[in-house]
Amino acid sequence: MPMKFFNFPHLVQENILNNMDFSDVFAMSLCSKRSKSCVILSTIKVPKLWHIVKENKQSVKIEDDAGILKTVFKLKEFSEVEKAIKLKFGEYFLREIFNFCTYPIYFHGDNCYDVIRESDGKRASILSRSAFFRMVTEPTDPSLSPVCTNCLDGVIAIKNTIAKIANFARITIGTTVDKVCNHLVPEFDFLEAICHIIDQNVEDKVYRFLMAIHDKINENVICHMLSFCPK
Amino acid sequence: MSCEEPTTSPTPENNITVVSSDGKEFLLDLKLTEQSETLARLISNFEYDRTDVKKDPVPLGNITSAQMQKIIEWLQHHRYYPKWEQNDIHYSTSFTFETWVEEYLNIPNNEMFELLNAANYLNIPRLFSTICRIMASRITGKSAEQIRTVLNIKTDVKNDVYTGIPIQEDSSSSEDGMSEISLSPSPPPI
Repeated sequence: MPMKFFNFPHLVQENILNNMDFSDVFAMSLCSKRSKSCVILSTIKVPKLWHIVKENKQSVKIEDDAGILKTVFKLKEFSEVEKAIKLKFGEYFLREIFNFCTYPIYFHGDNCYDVIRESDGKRASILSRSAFFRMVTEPTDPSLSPVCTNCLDGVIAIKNTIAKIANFARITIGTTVDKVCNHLVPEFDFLEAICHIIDQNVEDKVYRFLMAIHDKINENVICHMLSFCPK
Repeated sequence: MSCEEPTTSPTPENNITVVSSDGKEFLLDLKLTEQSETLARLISNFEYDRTDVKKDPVPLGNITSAQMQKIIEWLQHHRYYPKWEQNDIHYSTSFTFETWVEEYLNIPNNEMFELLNAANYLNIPRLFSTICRIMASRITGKSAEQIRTVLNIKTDVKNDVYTGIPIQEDSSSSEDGMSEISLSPSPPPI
């Protein structure tokens, strides 16, 4: 008789998960959507969660009732030249080395986790898959900032939006600017590309900006709408 | 913790008969049934612990004779153990078991599956918890990819995030059996 984890009754699955270490439960949740929902349903209690950021390493740990910290995973940058990092899973499991990309990566999916720092609203995205693990922070991207009220921020926001469209449509930034400025709808579905980006990454103001471009509203209206200018 | 006890042959007064799904009868000492909450509650409800009550055989339709023999072996070994208490095991990273338990549970995965279901059905918490810990120890320190291999989980993510290449869907309803890959309970070296 074959043995499969999901053939067990839920009570049995829950008991097995409760016997596992936190890092293993976390790894288990990455196996599939079904395993993730199983982990969620098992309602494993997490007493206290720590996200520790140091100069060249970040870690997520869980503190138990006795005050002992258990590492769920740890990222350590060990080569500034190659931008390579190590991933430590749990207390004794070290993943392979891989290149750490410093350029923005916009990703989505069930294994993507968006986090927001409460103190200043800065955001980061964490993507974990079986073969790799990536964390993308966007500390200098005003388009993702909750507040964007001056002209400089507005310019940067527009620039970033153009870059995102260019990246998505796989065309150059210059071409993208031309297409946006001329309100052209070229051979690819430009509006679909815009909507895709809006859904994923663009804040409300940039969304309105793009809609304004689509509706061919002039730049004064855009500036007023986005509050780029003080007046 | 281990207690070696003198073996006592059950007498009609202090035992009940259970019948496995394949019709085989087993004589169970009432002392042994205390470890099974299901049987203990049944005995209490039917007052089988009284000598003047006629004891009908108890059918266990979910348990085969092979599983029943295995369970009786467990019950006999833990006959004089103290009552099981669930400890807080969330933060234990070491999975250490008695030698007898390791030998007892050194069985193929399919037998382990049946034994775990039987322990769940009969509600034998010590056996149930031990098997769960054994299973948890088998996937300790493994990556998600390795856990998929051990527990035969296939990813159900539609497409790869970067490449867009479709990933094989979860075939939980397929007939594929669990991999018999024997992964060591001990974690891999750093």
